[in-house]
Amino acid sequence: MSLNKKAQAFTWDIVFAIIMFFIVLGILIYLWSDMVEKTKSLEIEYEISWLSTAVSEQLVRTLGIPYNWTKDPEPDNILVIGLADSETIENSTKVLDRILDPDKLMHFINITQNNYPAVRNKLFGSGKYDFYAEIFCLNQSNICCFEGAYLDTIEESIITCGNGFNFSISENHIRGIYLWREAEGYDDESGISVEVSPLASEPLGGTSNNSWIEGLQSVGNFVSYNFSIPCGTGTYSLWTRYAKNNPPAVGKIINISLDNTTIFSEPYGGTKTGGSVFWKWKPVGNFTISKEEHTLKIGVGKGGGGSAVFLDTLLLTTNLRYIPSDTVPSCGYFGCESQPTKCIIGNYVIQGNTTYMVHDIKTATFSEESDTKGIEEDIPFLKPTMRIKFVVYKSPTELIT
Amino acid sequence: MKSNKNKAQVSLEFIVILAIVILVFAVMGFVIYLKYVELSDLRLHMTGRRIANTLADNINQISIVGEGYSQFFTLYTRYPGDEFNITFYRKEPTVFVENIEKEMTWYAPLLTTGVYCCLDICEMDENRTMIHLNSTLTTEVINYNNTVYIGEIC
Repeated sequence: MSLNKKAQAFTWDIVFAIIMFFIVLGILIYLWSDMVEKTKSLEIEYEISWLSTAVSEQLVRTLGIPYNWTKDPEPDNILVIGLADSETIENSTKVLDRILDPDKLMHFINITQNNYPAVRNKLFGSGKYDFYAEIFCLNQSNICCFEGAYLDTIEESIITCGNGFNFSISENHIRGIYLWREAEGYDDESGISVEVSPLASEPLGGTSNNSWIEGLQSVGNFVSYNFSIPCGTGTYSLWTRYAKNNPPAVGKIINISLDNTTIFSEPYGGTKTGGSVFWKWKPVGNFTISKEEHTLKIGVGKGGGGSAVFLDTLLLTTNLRYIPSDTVPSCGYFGCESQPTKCIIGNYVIQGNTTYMVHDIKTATFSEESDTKGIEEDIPFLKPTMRIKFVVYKSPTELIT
Repeated sequence: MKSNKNKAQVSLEFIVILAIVILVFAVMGFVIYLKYVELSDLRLHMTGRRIANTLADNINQISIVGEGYSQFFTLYTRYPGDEFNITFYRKEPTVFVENIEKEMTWYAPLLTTGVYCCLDICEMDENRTMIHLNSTLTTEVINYNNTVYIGEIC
């Protein structure tokens, strides 16, 4: 027997056995690791889910610490952020569950936009996770639930959300409805023509939607618009953006009627200054309008003279103190059809761009004192419900370790 | 008669095979050890996270519903050696749970800074309330005078 035969124990038998062993071991380790990773993922989801529920509950059900933190709304001075309102009964303070204080909501939006890291750390106790919140009405097609809310601590301001949505505050009330109507989008007319701005060198100042109407020249010419307003009865301010190729002293009488009742009959003066004609906003007045369908008619009356009145845009707003800028109308700012109907604050991220994301939606309304003070005590604005969608996520750059 | 040379060859083979087997088992043992440590840490993490969240849930609920309410809850520590220090600071509305051995910490936001505890396992001073938890604890949380007490009013 040769020596070489004993060395056969090291041949393919043992090599194969070792390879098989390592393959089985590798599969087991892979399955083990996979299960551990999945458990870790579930833990993160559990933690995020818990946080989104706890913090959203905290926002709609607690006053915060201090309870009147809106008096000094700096994140450093707030221990706990809560948005609920309270009432005092026999010297004791009762929390109004899921009834929000508009002041707190506005300040919360403001401090979140201005100092997101501080607010995040305040809500979560750390910067481990990020959040964004969507604030919108139950009826997501409008913003009626905010309209008329009374604020103690903010008199005049514009609170801007991260997505360009604005809460405009006028005389301590949220006045946020801006209905924008292009003049050329009329429903009926007589003697009116539409002009497209690139074909004309004047008027100056830019036009909305690149076009306007001409032809408000002769008595009897008119243009009319059918419209409805989104919320309950309210007082609206009407503005028109016009131009007239005459000096200011030369006016043409314009009659404006709402549902066949004349509400305005005054001259529209020329807007020619320094040899050029400019677009100019003209206030028509304030009118109380109910929710039904209405017809607004703008026609040329007797008296006055000069050239035709051009109309670019009509603006109806509940913000009675709002004065439009004479510069180019910015459709993204107020009133355009593309205006967002929800306010997004915080560190917004598109779903799908992060691995872990959980949200919780809470329902709330504003306290009763809304619209019972200030300029419009009699206006029965609806008090529909609002919603807060609170989204917590883990930044994709900080995945599980 | 077989020569001595033959015996030496068998022994060498055996040693080599034994070495390979030991090596394989050493690798396997090391991997299993790493995984065991990872799992132990994960289990501890889950325990600590649940203690923090359970405490925060109950304290927050009792803070929200108002004065006079109380409810029972249980903090589970299932394994021997799981010891936690639970701390509430007077100026920080957060509960901190710390495992002493592993030096791991968990936290959860609270809605109040006034949390007190007079159980035997608690320590209090003007800056904080601390609970030393080394076994499963079932106790009560009480809202009295808008202050939250764990166990009993003191």
